[in-house]
Amino acid sequence: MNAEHKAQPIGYLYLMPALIVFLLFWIVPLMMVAGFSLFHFEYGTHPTWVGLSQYVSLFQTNLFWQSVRITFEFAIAVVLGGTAISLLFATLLYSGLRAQGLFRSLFFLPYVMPVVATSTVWLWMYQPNLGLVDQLLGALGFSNKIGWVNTPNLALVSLIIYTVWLSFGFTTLLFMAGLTNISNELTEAAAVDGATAWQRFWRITWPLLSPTTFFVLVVNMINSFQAFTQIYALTRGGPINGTTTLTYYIYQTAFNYFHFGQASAIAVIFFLLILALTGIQFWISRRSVFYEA
Amino acid sequence: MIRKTKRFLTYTFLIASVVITLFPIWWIFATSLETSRRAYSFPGALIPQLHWQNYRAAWLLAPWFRFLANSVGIGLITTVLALSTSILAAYALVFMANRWNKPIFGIILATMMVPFYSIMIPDYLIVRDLGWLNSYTAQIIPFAANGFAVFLLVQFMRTFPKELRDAARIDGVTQWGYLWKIIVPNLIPAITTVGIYLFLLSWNAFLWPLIVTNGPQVQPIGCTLFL
Amino acid sequence: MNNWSLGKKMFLAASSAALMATTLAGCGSSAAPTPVAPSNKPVTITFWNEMTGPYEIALSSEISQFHKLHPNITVQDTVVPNDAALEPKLLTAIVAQDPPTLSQVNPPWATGFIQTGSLVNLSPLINGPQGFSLSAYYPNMLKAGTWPNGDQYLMPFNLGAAIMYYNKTQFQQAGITSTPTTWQQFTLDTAKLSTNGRQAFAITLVHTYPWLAFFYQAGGNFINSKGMPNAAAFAPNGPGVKALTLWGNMIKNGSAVLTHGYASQTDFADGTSSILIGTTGFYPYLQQAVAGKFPIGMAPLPGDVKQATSLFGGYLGIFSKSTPAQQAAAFAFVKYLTSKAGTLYWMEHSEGYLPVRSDVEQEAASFLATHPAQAVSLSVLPYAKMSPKVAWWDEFSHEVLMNAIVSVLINKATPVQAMQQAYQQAKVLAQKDGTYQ
Repeated sequence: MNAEHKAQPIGYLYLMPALIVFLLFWIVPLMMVAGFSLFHFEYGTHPTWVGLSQYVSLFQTNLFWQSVRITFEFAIAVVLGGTAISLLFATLLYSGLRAQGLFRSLFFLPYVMPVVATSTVWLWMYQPNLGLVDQLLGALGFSNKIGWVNTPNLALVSLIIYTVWLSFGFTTLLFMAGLTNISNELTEAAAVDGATAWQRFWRITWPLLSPTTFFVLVVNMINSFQAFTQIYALTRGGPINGTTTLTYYIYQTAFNYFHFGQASAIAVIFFLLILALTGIQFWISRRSVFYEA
Repeated sequence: MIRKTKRFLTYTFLIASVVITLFPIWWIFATSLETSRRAYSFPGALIPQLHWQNYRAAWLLAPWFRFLANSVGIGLITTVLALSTSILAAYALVFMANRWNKPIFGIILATMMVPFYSIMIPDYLIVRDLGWLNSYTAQIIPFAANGFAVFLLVQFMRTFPKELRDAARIDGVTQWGYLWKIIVPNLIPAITTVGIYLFLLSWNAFLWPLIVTNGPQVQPIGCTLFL
Repeated sequence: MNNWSLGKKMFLAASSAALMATTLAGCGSSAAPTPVAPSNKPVTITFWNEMTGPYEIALSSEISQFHKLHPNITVQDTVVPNDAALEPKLLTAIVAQDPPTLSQVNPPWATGFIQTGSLVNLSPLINGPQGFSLSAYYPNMLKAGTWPNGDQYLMPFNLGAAIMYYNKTQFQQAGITSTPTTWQQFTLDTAKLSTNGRQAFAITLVHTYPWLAFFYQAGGNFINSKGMPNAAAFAPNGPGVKALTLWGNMIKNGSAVLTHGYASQTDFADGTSSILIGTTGFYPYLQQAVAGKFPIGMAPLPGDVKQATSLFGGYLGIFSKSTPAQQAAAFAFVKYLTSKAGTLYWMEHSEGYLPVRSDVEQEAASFLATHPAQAVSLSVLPYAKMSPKVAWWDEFSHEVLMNAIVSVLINKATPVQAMQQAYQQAKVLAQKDGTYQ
């Protein structure tokens, strides 16, 4: 990626194995899906050409726009919440604690457990009245008849909490790897010069950590757009479609209601949307991400 | 004194966070070890009771060892393959200047944005045409390269000083030698992270294996956990 | 469809977690019996189903019995965890023109499969030399597998009628001597049972069939004779509004609670709720979960303008991609499974499903005497109704109707509003998806 060196065509050979897999199982299928989206294609009937009309009818469907909104709400909350929490834990752990490795592994545990198993436990904890969350709230004197997964907005909140719980250990790990790359000399020198911990973080660690932060933000965003298993396990997109994100909408349309053509159209929009968002993130990163090397 | 108090507060906060974080996981074991009727009663469920028939009942129903061995095998092979292809690709993108690197990196990133459930049917058609239905291959090869893995490795390799590469080249170190002798050993933490990620991705798979396989001979454990 | 769920899921989840840490010697899979001197050309058929746990064990013995009768046929069965798993698997296979020979099928899926010629019309085979008489089969079970032109595409297999399970101890303590037979009595009894912040009736909406039972009792029918949405069912004074009002009021006065997933089963088992509505498929799980802590009672659901309940479960269909020999073998297997011997064995060993034909009543008598869940379910069978199978039904039931019921239960809409909106959406769906043809 640096242009000053001479071209090295052997690099293409290094790229070949990965590219074959990507092209055969991701890019070609994506093109097929883009093709399907122009056909009325149900159950496996003979597809009929309908042009862009499935996109048009999608734009006229309330549920589509609702799921776009829900996808964004979910992604923004998970990206901001998850990034902030993991940054907090990473910096706390990195500030010279002895049990650093132990804590890091413990926070990582939820990520290692099968999603299907942990989401079932969370479902139990979210049960109205008798679920653990409500019992704790009740013990603390709050109202404890909250239908966590039975009310559209709270169901989304439940999903967000679960997803952050699930993934913050992994992003903490990424942040800590990034922190390891920052030399301690700079922060120590600043400490000698009398900078407070707060100043040291914002003036030195934060800018030097920006490549990692950028990476975590991009990955978190893509992952939250792609979230499926927990939605499937916790809420099945309900209640009243309150947690139907675009991914879930695609699944439901294709595999519960058999509208392959329409599901393909949603998938194409989904792809373009997150492509654009990632593009924006990269564009911003060029101005604000600071590369040490 | 202030430093000690600070340290004490940090530890207290971290330990409290660990307890909250791990509670649901601990609960899985607590509830599965007792009869299901008490699963809801809190704090009754806080004290695990050993009712092993819960485990036995589950175990007797399926060839668990086979499922488990399949999961581990598929996971390990997928991880090793995907790590290899991703390390090679990331190295080429960072250290071998080529005209098409940027668009190729773009395509690799784009694979992360494809909603998998929409390409499941095309992928099934491809796997069927390759004659891979009901095999390990169908569960391994489509995941033998990973966009996230390439992206992460590229990020880490970029932080490597370029001067080091130039110095090594003057000393006559080949690209291949530089990759395996210098880059990989220095990137072990990053590679481990990616490795865990890849293994878990394979381990947590449930719908794809269920669709491309027919029976416990080649199925991973995820197939039995469908909700 | 498969109710063997929450408890088992947790066992499995925890087991898999434990398996990650410990290695255990597993149990070998049982080999299929080798055919004795094949009388015909050997043929192998594939059979996809979702019969897990105790059902899997019962079905495997059915298969080995069939193997003994037909040594030339090998049935390879593939078990998937539930219908949420079977649906995408089957659908992908059909799109890829690679379906199994035989599969469990929900009638609304079949409407699409028939349109594309993917399913074998069973009528010619039933009337053929290897056929059998349909007269012994329960007509309401058969009907869901019959298409408007009279062709039988699906045969009933694992079915149960929705009944009421109740906690006998709690009924006694509340001074209730007989189970409610009318809506009014049902309301009074649940209110009486709901004490100390407990709600006696735990509602689960994994499927809509428990609510549909009440809708049928109010005389409702969502589909008119043309396969389109029936306006009267959605009317402000119609059966939909009536059934929604009943449940909505019960939640409001604290005698019912909306739970999630299969939590209502656990609620019932730990005594948190006293009434559970489900099919006979619940029975093996409930029995294990309750574990003798209190006697479980079973009773028919209350009635309103009429006695009614919903019938719920799976059918068997043969796919036309298979060879004629395979189709004949699959048909022989279907014939066996739904024969007197097959259906009797299935009822007794699955302990969850009903026989599909009436001519086994005598043989079943001793079993039914000790298995009240099946006995009650069988007694309500004559007025049990299977869901309609128009192509738009699945989306209507899971999406539109589910949303209507939930929005009333969580107080986001009045029953009249909910039904009005459901009607508009149903019309759009029916236009988009067509009806039977």
